[in-house]
Amino acid sequence: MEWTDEQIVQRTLNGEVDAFGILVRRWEKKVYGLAYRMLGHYEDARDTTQEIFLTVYRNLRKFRGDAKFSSWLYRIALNCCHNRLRERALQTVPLDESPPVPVDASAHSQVERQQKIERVRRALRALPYEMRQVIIMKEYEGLTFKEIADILNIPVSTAKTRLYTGLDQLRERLLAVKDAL
Amino acid sequence: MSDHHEKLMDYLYQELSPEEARRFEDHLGTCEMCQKDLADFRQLREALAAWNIEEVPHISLTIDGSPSRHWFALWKAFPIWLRLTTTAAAALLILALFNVQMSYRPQEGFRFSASLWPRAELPAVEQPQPEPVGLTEEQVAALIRAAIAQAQQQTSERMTAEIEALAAKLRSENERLLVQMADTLRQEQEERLAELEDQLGQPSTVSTLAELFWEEPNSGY
Repeated sequence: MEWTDEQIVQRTLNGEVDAFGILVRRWEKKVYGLAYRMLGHYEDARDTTQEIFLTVYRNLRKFRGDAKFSSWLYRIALNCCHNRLRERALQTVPLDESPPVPVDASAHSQVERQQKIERVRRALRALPYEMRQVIIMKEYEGLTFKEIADILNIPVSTAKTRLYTGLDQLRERLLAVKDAL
Repeated sequence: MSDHHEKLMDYLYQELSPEEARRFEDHLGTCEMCQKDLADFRQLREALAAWNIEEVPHISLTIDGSPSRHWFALWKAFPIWLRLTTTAAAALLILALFNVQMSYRPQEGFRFSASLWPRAELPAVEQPQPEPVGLTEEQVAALIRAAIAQAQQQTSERMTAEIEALAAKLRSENERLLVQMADTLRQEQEERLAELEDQLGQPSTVSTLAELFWEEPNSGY
């Protein structure tokens, strides 16, 4: 039987430090994906992902069972990303760093795909933070509007409004680039 | 933002019920703007989906578990009897470190005291020996008799003293009354004597006095 997130949290709190590793393995891809898409920076995303899980571990006793662990985790992840973006805003670092390109990326189709991804990444980064996070949570994390509203502590209608406005702006930005879509 | 935009978002991400979806599709058939939005956003979603992150860098966490956490994990691994023993031993150690002293007295109950430094030894104080308990019936009866006799004696002495005091008071009152009566008699005699002296100065009175104090010489004696 697979342990639920809440059960793993309880086991960790009971002293099984290794149990927390199960949570990390279970959520690292989604958390890293969220961080990378929010930050648009490979190293920042990697460091922020570590910071997110450390924050979760240190605050595990504050987790209340009345909410889903995933919602709590996403809330912490977004806070950490927000803090990292504010720190970055004070520094002069390249914001459009691409992730490592695979060795077999020499094929034309692969290059073309990478170019499309890069355009999407830039367009997302250009969006206001509030719209960007809703698009990422909806499009890439597959959360429902209700879950997004709970995580951001906003009405469901507001979540939908932000998504529509964000997609609308994203459309304008990507349509301005030829063959982006 | 219109309600249609919210419905469009629900429809785009398939969060409408079948009935709601059918009604929105009816709307789509008449609204060119929603049709365009839907087509653009579906195309946009395809573009967004291309950004697929396949490789995740190794996330290494250095969880600096505190020593207490490791000790707690070790303690949790102990069997229950070993947990109880170690807990009791730890409790005793803490009590000893803080020089905790416990005492019990029937009248005062349990008393606890603690200090960081060992307290100096106090000189022994002799405690009063408690009265023997568990008397026999004869002993109890004798004690009661002795108590009654003592009470009777005390009552008798007290009554005697009261009677003597009362007698003395009566004697004193009698003496005072006798003195008062004597004074009254003397005063009356003096007044009487004064009247007699006044009468002695008159002849008729003299014969009368003679009649009073002397017998007639020829009275027959």
